[in-house]
Amino acid sequence: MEHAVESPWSDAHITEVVEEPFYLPVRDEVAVFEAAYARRLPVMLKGPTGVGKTRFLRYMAWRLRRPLVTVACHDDLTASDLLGRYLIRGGETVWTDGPLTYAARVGAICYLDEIVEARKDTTVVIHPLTDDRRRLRLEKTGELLVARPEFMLVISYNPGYQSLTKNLKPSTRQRFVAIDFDFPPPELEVEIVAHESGLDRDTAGRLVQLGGLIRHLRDTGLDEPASTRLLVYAGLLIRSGIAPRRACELAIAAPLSDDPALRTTILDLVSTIFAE
Amino acid sequence: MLRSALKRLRSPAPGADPSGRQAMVQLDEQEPVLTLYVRALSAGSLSIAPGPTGARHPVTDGRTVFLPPVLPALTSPEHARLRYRLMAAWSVLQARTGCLALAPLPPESTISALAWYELLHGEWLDRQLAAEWPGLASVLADERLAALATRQTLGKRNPAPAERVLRWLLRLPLGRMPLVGEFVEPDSLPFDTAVAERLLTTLASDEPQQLRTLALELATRTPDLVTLVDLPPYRARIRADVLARTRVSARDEHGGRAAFHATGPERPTARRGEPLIIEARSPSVLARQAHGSGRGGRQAVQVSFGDREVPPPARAHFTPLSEAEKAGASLYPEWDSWSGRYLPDWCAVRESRARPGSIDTIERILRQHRPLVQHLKRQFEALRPEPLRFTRQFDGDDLDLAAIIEAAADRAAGLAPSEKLYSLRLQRERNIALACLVDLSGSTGAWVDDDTRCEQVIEVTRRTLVFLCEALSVLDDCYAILGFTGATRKQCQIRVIKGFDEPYGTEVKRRIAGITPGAYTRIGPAVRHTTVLLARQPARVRLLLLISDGRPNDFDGYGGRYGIEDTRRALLEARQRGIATFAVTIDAQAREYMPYMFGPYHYVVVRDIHALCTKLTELYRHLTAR
Repeated sequence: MEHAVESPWSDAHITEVVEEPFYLPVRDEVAVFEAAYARRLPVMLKGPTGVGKTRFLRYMAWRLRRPLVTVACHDDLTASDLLGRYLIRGGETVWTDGPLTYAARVGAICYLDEIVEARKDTTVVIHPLTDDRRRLRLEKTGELLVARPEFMLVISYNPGYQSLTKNLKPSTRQRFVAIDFDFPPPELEVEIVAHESGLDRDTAGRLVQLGGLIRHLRDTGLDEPASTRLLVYAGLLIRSGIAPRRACELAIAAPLSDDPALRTTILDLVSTIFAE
Repeated sequence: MLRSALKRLRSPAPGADPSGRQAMVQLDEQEPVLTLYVRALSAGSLSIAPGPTGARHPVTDGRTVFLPPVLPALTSPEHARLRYRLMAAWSVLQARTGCLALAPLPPESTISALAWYELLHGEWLDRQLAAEWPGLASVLADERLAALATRQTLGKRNPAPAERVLRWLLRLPLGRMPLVGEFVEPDSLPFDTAVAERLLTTLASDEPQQLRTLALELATRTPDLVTLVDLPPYRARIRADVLARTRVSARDEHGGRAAFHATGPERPTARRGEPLIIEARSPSVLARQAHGSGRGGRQAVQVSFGDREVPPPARAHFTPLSEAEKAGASLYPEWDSWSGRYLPDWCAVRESRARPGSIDTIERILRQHRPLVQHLKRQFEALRPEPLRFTRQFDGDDLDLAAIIEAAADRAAGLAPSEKLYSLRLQRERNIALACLVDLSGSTGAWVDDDTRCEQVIEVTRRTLVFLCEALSVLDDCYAILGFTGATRKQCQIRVIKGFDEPYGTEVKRRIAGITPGAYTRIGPAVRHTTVLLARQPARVRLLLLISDGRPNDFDGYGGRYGIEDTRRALLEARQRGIATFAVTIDAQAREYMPYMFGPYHYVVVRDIHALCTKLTELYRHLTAR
């Protein structure tokens, strides 16, 4: 359960995570995150898409009982979108905090999702919040905001993007404690897929087996291998009565690749694992 | 059930040749997908290649699965595809379960023991396969029934003991292991019920070790069994008879050292313990290789030192380049992984204009591929920077006068005025510099032939460059194309096919037409030189894109680990200077060294060389898209 809190921004939202989200720790990430929180260190969640970075953060927000401000970064995101701006209301101009300023002011966890999508000049505005002074200067109002102790900055980053323009600058990266996320080990992944999709463990196990095989194709031109999320989607379709082969075709093969050979291969793998 | 299976197999395929000739499915057509399929199933440890003409069974040496070059399209071509998949999956499982490398039988074993082992291990693998990959279970069951039907119809009326056991086993279902008396009265077996029970228990077990004991025991009961049993065609054969031959040939070729060709589809596997099975090389592969090297191919060039590499004696004393050797050259250090330090001014790189060829070559390519080139250009047009100014923004670097007037008017009229009063200018120019570094070593003279085309790697490279240039012509990206070869550290050549400041015109086209295979693949100095050239470019994003067909290699000891380490260093140096590096390779074995040199995400293996032309353009688009 979570409450969406009304927010004035179009690119960000605030949530209060009320009920414990389902999350299975893979290694020591929970302890590491708590240590970073206690020490006021910013954290970078690193890993491919769909392996549970966002879920982990929601879980940690619940554990630490902090509101979570999530910003979905994109390439038109400007510094003002993060910090805030004067809006004209009627005849007056009114200052409105951006999500980053808001989180620093109230002591929330500010999550910049897929930070590399943001333009580089936008990214640098987070720098002053990441060193030990944790201060933010708002040039337009002249305010020097010192972040609340509970404030925490978290960014997510997917190193698998084969793109030149989408890379994190070393000066940004080196300000974060990086927690690596990868596909969970098979036993855990089976449990996750079974829980999230409501499938029996046998079928969930077959989906995980399929995911494992597809992940071997990564350096053959498959941009992103089958994520746990895709496996869960396939599981949900199966659970709704779609035949397993068809479900995998719809939720896994088709989204992963447009390349005919790769797609045929994935379908062949599906029909190797699932009987008709 | 058996009769219907047999009937189904013999009935002609829909749309089959009315003359009664069997329709066939070629492995070649299936190869791109099957290669990926085997890669996925084996976690990249196995590849596929066609076996000798006429081969019915697959065979594997632990690195390559040799599949029959053609299969009859019995009921439909799709069915043949399915059988190829079954054969490939079966071989993958055979290699993975250690049935190849376990040394399952003592060297002095009799043929009878080999025959029993092969039979039992095949049966055991069938069951493993059905459990591991249930989607293949039904096609496997069909194959088993068909094999049984053929044997019963065409085989001897009074079969030998091993054949009797095989027929008995083929009749058993693949799922649950039945009890001894359930399917056939045990009297028909050449041994007593206790042995039969043990046989079933062993086959149902997940561990293959017991198969060996059982095979030896059965062999003592059937000493008169002197040939291997004919097995269902989807099962990869174990070829004990080639073992001795392979060992000898491996030793002869390389002076007794454990040395292997770095490339090429075949590799002896005798180095792993004492495997029972070795089918070392398929004759067709050997023939193809000979064919390749005879026409200026890769075998003469690409020999590396394998795992047990030793520093060449010449490396013991470090001789600096002489003044004559330095003349007119840019000097670069080399990373010496033997001593863990840089050798200063070690390589002499000379830059020169590439020799021009005939413009007709390029025009022919453009004529032949006009629609494709048009398509690529259209795709690249989409990369052009978008309009730069955004009006009616909440915030921006300038006031949007039209919006302000409107807001003032609104306010005067008593309406709620808009809050979007700014215009915003976004810097959206691409600002990219690309250096495309092309491997022009001798190995690019190798011939790639499938049934449709036969051409040299360099021809494909040429086409690739033309496509890239054509596509880039619609963008403002600044780019250079540099060919490189090495013939020892004293003569590293960079051939400028297109400089950064040159337009893509007739002169550049002629130089692309003129590229020819040169000597060796000394990547390190080429990367260092390109890094210097790229670093001078005033671009925001700088990319070094390497197109290669093999690992680093030069004949003065620049091979194996040494070459890889130096190349890795050179690439690190480039990245430290803010240059992104990416590689496109056609070497199937690239996974062994590419992640180490370029990092796990910055290379791509192009499986079908003919696809390189479009793949590279597509990749560049992908890499630089916002």
